[in-house]
Amino acid sequence: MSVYWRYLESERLSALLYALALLACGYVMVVIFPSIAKIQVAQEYFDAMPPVVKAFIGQEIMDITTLEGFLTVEYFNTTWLLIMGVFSCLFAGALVAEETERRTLEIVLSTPVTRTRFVASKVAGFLTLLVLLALASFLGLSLGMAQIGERLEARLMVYAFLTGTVCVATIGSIALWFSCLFNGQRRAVGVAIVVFLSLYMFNVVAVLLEQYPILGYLSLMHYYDASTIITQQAIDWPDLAILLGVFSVMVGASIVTFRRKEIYV
Amino acid sequence: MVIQTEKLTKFYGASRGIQDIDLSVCQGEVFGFLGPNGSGKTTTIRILLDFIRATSGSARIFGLDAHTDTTRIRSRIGYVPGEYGMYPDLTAAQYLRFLGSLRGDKDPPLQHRLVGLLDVDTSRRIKSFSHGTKQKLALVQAFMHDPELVILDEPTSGLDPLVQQRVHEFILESKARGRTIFLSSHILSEVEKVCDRVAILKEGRLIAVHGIADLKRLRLKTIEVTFEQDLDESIFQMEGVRKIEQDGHTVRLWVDANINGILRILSQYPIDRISCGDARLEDTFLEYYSQ
Repeated sequence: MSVYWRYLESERLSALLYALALLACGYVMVVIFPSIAKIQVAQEYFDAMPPVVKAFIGQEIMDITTLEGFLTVEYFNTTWLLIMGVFSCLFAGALVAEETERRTLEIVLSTPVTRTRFVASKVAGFLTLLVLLALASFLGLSLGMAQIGERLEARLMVYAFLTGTVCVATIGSIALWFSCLFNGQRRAVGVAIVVFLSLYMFNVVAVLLEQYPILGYLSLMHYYDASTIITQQAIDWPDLAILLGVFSVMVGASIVTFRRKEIYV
Repeated sequence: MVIQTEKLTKFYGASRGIQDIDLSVCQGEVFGFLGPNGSGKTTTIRILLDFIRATSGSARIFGLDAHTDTTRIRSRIGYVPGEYGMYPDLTAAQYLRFLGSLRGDKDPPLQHRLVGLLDVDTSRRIKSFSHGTKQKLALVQAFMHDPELVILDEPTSGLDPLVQQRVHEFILESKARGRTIFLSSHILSEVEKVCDRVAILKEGRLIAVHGIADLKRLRLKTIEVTFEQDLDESIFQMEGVRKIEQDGHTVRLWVDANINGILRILSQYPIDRISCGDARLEDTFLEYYSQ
């Protein structure tokens, strides 16, 4: 049993609960869609929303009376992203800090496992969980669509989940850095959640304050927009590359930080 | 040399951890590392294991640098930390298998013997273990792969005397196989039983390194005398007398020199009872710290 398998084993129950929640969430979102689409005032209601709210949910460019518009606005850009973002902060923030805090690290690091391998194995385990959660989400949407007899092209869902998973993995890589930096799990997770929500708000504020586009570029969520993927029916490769670049830099920074860290609690 | 440090120094910001520690531990030796809490024992061990980095000086294990060659070093050692956590959701068997796999050794040669010797139920989850059972499990994982060097930080704390005895016997058996043991402890009776040499730390500095036989020679002697009358203890205050305790007619003296002078004084007074013997090693050790 390696560090990778040990991590998956230790998180299997909580990850399973999360996966079931995401499956149920996706399913419910789809099965309530027909009811929403029948309400003629729904679109008017959304149209009448203040720009800040529309910017927040990404509703400005999508028609929410269509399944793809509804899922983009209500699911991919908001509900799913927030749930997965918080998951990333909670789990990636604990990857190293939990072991430091609980003092399990010392015996593990007295074996020939290098600190680089330790972090890399944990990251691999975390990414595995993200993929499983994305699959559970995909399954939830698919079951819902089978239930209501409507469908969104599977290819588009894969594009949205792929880019979204890279986005939340990048959020996780920032949480990982805090996990390597701090000795306490709560501190690492807490700071990561604050950073995640701040980045989310940066993106919203950047839409509203056109004179400050830099805020949008600073936000990771700027590089994941399901509405662009769905309307253009393609992955935005430059945005994906930026997310992967930030992910790589943050994982590298985490490894360097952990290698230099002095371990005493 | 298995362990060698030169001028090893560690400061935590402005506060001192250890300063100018020079140590040499030979192969096949059980080396005791003594000192009260805060004296720098754990700091030294953490530098040896590359958990923290020295401010200055050098530390080498098996001739390899403790920082740059730490992975190669750790493949040849076992370690029991002074304080540690274990994964509560695992059984002891799963935990040992996990650590064995990290060492690339799925069937460590001494695991089954140690599990039997220390009476660890490996089918139980670690969360159900008492402190003492966790300590036994920590000892099993440190020795199970028969490493060349085992670093033990307070290894028998929380163990009952019978298990302590078994651990001491196993340490001596490991030594007989040419293994080196670096043992940090404040239990002097344990040090006396198993160590060949001891280093004594005080406030981050190494104040003495002695063979255990030398330490025993330096050991104070005790004289307990019951007189037939009350005497003023000041009459025993002379060179060589380190400590005096008086309880009614009974006086207890700790003496580090020839006791003939003391006996000459004692013989001037009517004595009801007298006994003479070696002081505990603890008292000798404490004497170092009072200087």
